[in-house]
Amino acid sequence: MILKMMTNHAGDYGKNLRQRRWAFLAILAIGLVGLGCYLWLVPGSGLSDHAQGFYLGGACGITGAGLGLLMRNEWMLRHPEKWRKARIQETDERSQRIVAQAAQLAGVGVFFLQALAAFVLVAVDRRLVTVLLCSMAAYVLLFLGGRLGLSRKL
Amino acid sequence: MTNRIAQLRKERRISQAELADAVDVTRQTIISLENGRYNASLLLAHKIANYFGMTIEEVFLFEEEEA
Repeated sequence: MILKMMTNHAGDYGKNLRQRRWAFLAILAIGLVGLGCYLWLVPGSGLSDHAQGFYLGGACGITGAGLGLLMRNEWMLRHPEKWRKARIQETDERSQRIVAQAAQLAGVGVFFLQALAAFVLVAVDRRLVTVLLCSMAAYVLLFLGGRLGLSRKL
Repeated sequence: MTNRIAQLRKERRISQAELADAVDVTRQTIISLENGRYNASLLLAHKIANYFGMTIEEVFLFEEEEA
């Protein structure tokens, strides 16, 4: 549903922008919850400095991204004269095809790199191999789910 | 597939930006279409042909061996 909301360019662009606001607010909320957890829960948790840093970095990154996307969206909502150009940039079929093919290449590339890394890491740490194999299994499941959903839709 | 977009555009003294604006794509897409690096979707082909007041077959030339 969120993906549909973010990529649905048909119809009123202003309505799309207003719908996107909720998705960006959700991203911001996730980041703020992460920051809240970092401030109130992490200090007494006994996590290593590295884990705490990772927690803080992730929460700040998500908050920053959510805030940036929300601000851009709000600015766009207040400037209807910019909508047509923005809509054309987003719906341009060549750009969409480039993004889709790049995502396809990246997905396949990451999958094969993970397989390669799993062969190398099996001699180093089995936990890392488990993480890689779970990630590859998630990719396969998402791929099959996507294929099934799209084959019914298209 | 080849097309006559550049030829038709020059005959009618239309810029790439004007054509792009009329058919709701970026100028870069028009450039790629004219260079033959990108094949238009049926919808875009229809919009371009409609803009020139022609049929799709008159603007886009489909070569049989590509089938």
